[in-house]
Amino acid sequence: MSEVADDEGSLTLVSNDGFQFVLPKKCAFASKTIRNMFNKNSGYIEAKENCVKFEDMRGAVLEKVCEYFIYKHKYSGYSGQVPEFQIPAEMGLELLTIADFLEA
Amino acid sequence: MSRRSTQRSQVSGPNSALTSFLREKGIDTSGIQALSQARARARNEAALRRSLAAEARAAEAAEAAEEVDEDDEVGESSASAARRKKKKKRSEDEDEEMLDFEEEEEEEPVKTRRGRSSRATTEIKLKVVGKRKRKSTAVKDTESEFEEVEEEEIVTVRATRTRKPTKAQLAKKKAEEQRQLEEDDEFNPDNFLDPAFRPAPGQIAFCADCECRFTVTPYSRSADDGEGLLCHTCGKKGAPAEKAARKKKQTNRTNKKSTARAILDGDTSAVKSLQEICINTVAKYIDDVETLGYIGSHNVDKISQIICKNRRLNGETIGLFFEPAEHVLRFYDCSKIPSDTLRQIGAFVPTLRRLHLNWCGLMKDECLDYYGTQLKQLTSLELCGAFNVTEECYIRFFKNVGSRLTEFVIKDTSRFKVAAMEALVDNCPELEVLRLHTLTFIDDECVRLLTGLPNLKVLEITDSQTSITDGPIIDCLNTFGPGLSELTLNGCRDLTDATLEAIHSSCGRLDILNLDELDFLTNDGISKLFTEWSLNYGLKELSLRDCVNLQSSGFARIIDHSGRTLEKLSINKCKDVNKDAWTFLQEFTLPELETLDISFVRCVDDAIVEGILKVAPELKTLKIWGCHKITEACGLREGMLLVGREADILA
Repeated sequence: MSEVADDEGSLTLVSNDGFQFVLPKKCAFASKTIRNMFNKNSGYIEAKENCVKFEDMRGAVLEKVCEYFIYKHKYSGYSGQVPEFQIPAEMGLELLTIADFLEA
Repeated sequence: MSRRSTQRSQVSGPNSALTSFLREKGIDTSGIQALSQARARARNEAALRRSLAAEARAAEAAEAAEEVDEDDEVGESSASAARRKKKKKRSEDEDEEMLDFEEEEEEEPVKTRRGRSSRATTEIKLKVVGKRKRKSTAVKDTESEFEEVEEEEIVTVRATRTRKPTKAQLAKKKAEEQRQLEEDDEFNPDNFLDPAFRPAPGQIAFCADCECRFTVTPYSRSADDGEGLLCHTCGKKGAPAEKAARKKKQTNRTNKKSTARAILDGDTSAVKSLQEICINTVAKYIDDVETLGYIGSHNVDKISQIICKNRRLNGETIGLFFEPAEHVLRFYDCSKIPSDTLRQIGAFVPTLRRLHLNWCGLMKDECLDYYGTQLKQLTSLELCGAFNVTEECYIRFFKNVGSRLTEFVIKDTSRFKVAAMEALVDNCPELEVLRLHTLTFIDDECVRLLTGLPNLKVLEITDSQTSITDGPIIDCLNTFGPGLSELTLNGCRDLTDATLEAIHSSCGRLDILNLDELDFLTNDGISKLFTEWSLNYGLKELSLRDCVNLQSSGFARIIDHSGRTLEKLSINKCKDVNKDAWTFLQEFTLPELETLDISFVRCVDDAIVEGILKVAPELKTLKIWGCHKITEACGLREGMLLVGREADILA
């Protein structure tokens, strides 16, 4: 299937405890999973509503994920010294599972 | 004048008890004295020059102020100033001549030059004389008191001048210039470079910039032109820029270092993926992790790699990796894990199919016996450095595992000998992959036994301590050569072109051929192997590291035969491959080539590298250690790794 995903505009990511994060699509598309959801050919309801609800993500974790999306968008292709992305130790494993799911 | 006085003091000055004692004993201290005097003289001359200049400036300023007051017309005053200047210049020239003739008369011309400021000059001279006395010999209290008074006077003169900067500014500037000229004339490198030139900490000095009075500390900075010191406030002005420069230099160096490290790690992208970052975090805090949970087996393996690299795999952390239904377990550094804990793998993960244990030096016989009976699905075992396991244990293990075993890799042990090999061949006929790496007793007899393994697809014999000759290898190749996809005979130094002929005639499916460090191979032999080798479609990987006889013609045959299929090629240290080979290369394309190692092929330069990039569109890694002709200017493709360039490593 060809990849047709419009990366203009923004989308909303919702955590299971109701936190909403609005961020530019091109940042969120750092995740292959989210990009596939917004593939026009696949017809996900998320693509129509511009909103993804993650049932197994806490607000705190989703916030970190969004932070990473912005971090990645900001520094990819940047030739200078890239600062390290900090993750709290206790979140490491949980975030790893989610990163695996999101293919980020 | 002053110098004469010093000489006098040398003759008749008061002596300390120690000096007279030494003289009585006939010990000569003249050398020490001369040294200390020379030092003192240098210090005093510096001080004198500075105070003279200060005095002159003060006098000049006062004079100028007077004149401005006296003369009504500004033009006239400036004209007179110019006249005066001329006069001064002339007298200065005279001074120079005099200096040339007679150095001892140094102070005299200064006096005449100063003219009106003679009073001040004498005062200073008095002070200097006093000071010198104190430095060189013992000084009476009254004298030093007198000196202090003098010093204070001068200070007041200076202080008043700095407080009154209005009218006399122009004159002061002129005096400043004059002083500069004078000092240039009097410049004496010995004095200038002498550390004693710098006032000692705790002394009072005048700032070379703002001319205020301050106490010298060890941290006082010297002025930009090297003349005099700066006060705390002026010194601080230059500090931020200096600090920034130092910081910049440091960050540049760290940047360069980290880039070099990233190149060595093969890390091209600056932004890591979220998974990598998480894995690093988890590995960092592995001691606090209670259970890994389901994070995907490739992630588990990555964590295992990282904590093994950091040498943190121990009896505690290894437990995290025991997932009951796991099929594959790889531990890359088991050096801290006792045999009992290793044994637990058999109990906790009975479903294992592949088990890789590196550096398991603590493993004992019971452990391998337990694996043999407990791991019912085990098909692949890799043991590295299990030097405690005995030959009998291996024999028992092969009997237990039997034909289930398809892959066996053993490295770094002296206890794997002919008997074990025999048991392996007898019990495990289904073996497809066999790697014998750095074993002490793999000889011709062992190799000949391998003819009993007809299904072998991968054979590696690396760095055996005993000699292996062509005969048994040729026998093996005749048996399972046609099915072989990988052949590695690194470091079997006694092999000759006969082996290559056997490869040529039998190995039709060969993809990977590693013949590192076989220095008996000739260029003709290698050429023959790749000439009209229609049996083989083309190699994917070829390593001829340290095959020192390879020449351009042999290299051309290799490219001719396998150029289309090669993904990885190493001709490390094949020093005789010269420019002809690269010219030849230009006529080909290497569509699959991803990794190329041309380290220590000394003829390689920027033009050759750029030529290679043209013919190899997929090239991702190029190793060029020791190719010192390659410079920073070498044009590279984006996302490509150039490993080992001197310019990248030398900071």
